Amino acid sequence: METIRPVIKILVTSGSESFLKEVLAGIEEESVLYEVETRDGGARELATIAASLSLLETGIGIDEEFTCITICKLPKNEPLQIYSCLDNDKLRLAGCNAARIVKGIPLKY
Amino acid sequence: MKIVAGVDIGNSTTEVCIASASDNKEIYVLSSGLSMTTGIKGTIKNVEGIINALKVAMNKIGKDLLDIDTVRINEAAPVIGDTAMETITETIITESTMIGHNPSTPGGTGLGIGELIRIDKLDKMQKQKGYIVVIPEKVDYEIAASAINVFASAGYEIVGAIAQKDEGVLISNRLTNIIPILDEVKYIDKLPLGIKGAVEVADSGYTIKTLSNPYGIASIFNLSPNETRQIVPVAKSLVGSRSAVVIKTPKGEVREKIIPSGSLYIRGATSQKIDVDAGAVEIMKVIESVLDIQDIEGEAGTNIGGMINTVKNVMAELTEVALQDVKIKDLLAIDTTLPIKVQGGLAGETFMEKAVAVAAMVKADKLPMIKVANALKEKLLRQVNVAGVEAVMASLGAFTTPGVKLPLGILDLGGGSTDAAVLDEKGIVKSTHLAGAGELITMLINSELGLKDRTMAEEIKKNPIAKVESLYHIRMENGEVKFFNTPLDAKFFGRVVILKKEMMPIYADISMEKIVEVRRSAKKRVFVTNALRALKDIAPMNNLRNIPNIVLVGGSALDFEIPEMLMSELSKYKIVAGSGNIRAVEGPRNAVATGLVLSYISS
Repeated sequence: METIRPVIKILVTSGSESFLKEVLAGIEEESVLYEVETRDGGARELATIAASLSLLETGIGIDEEFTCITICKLPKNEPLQIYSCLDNDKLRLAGCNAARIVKGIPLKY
Repeated sequence: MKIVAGVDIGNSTTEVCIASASDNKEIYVLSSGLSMTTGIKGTIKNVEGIINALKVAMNKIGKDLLDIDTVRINEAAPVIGDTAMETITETIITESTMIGHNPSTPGGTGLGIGELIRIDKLDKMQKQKGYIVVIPEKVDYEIAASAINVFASAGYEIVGAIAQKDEGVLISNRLTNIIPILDEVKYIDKLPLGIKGAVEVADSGYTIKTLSNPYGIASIFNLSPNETRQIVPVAKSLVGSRSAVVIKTPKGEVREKIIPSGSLYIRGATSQKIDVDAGAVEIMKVIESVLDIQDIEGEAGTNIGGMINTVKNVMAELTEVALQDVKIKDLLAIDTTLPIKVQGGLAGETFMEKAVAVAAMVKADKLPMIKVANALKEKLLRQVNVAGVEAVMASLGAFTTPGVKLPLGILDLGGGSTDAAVLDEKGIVKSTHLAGAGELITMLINSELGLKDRTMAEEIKKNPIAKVESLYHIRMENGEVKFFNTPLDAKFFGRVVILKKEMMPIYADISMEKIVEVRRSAKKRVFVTNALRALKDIAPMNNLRNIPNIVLVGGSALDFEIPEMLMSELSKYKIVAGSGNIRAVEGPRNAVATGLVLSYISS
């Protein structure tokens, strides 16, 4: 279902919920709202679907290996950025940059 | 019939013009060429660039180098310029510790005054005393927040926090009481603990009020009038921040050092002295009032003295003349601002201090163009002459611009100097060379934007900018929007970019409006000031209105906004001014080379 509030949509596979904490912290620090839903699939594909569900047209897909962030306007399965789930700092960055895209300010590296 | 080549070796480009001269002294221009100048102007290395440019021009008309009969090289203007800048106010250097930075997302809001304590020492706190908690990066935001909550609920006063990681909002969201939290403090271990400090975070949309006010800081730390004066640079550097920390350093660590700004001595027909404190406008008035300047000196042991010495040293080296023989013939002073590092700042904080930039002009001996001519002669086995004064040749060339009449003024906007000449009805040319041109603009842009990157400043000078608003579109400085078919690189997102063939991101955190403002004002301050100065100098009866038309030539005449700035300024004097269009085809380029060819008949 398309979100009604201005949120970044996050789709996460059932086995990767442990990665959520850092991603969400990244978004929270930037003071942007989010909504999480569990769904099966690959991170790239999930990111595209998430973006299409988000009122802010920004989505994050998380699977066991990767966290992808993308926006509606980008081609399917070609996310803006891909981060490894093994690094907590990278996960925080993923959340932070998704929020920064919404805010229209330069990304962090 | 003979083939004549005119060659103009410039600081950056070498331009040539090829013409045929018939026996009854008629000249037909056949083609022209351009190449990068190889080596420093006036050295034998230039030959390579000349040959390249000649080849380009000869290829265009299906001939080769052997078809050239004679080559005419410009006699370069025997002046060189250099630039320097320094603060003009007295420099006070104090030691106090402060952090003023603009993390994009500080936490909480308000002003907290208390003693600095590390988060693992919270159990050492005393009641009825305010504390500011210092949180190193290894402490998780959840743990930090719950620790603060526990101690706060036990009756301890925690009034603010300083965090190393970007977690200000995360911590703030988990606290029961709202306190100001400054985050992203990289060198947190450099903070002195156990002493009094103040943390201020402004509401979103506002900037801090107390720590950016000298009296605000004085009230917090009970400073004496003298100490308050010393804290001014700290307060100044915090103006415009959303969050800041100021910590009082124990007495005795405060040091003060004053470097006087000094005076300039202008020696000519009369001699004058001017305090640099008076600012650029007053300095320029004095310089204009002294006729026939012989030398300009700065007071020894002062900022301006150091600056003038630097310029003279560079000149002495370049011209291979003894230092005491280097005489400054002209000087352009411009008011500017310079980022000064605040002593005691923990994140390299700077504040903008009033400064003066100078460009100085030194007369050099005739540049050794004759050496270049001889080397070229050996290579080409053709007649090579050094012919004509540069200003005269440029005037002759500029006169081929359609729509001009005599007396004709030219403004050559170069890199190191602004040259002007006026060609009257009798064919007499009067010329002048003034300090200050393109390079000074680059320096002003570099320092006023605090870039510390000359290449970047140079690109900002030459190109318009835009802001990347989404992955598919940019908004240019004139408001126009441009769309792209493929998404832009994410590293450009949200940034200001320079519009070259490829976009070049500006990583410094400066708004597009600020960059445009600084760029345009730097160009105005240098070229508009200098154009008026130069033209007054050479105009008949020193009256600008006596020159009906002015043609702009030289590299900076190709700039995307300088010609129009000069045009609107000069139209106030009823002067027709615009970029030249040499022989109706070349634009502002090739004036000197064309002049060299045209002057072949009279030689």
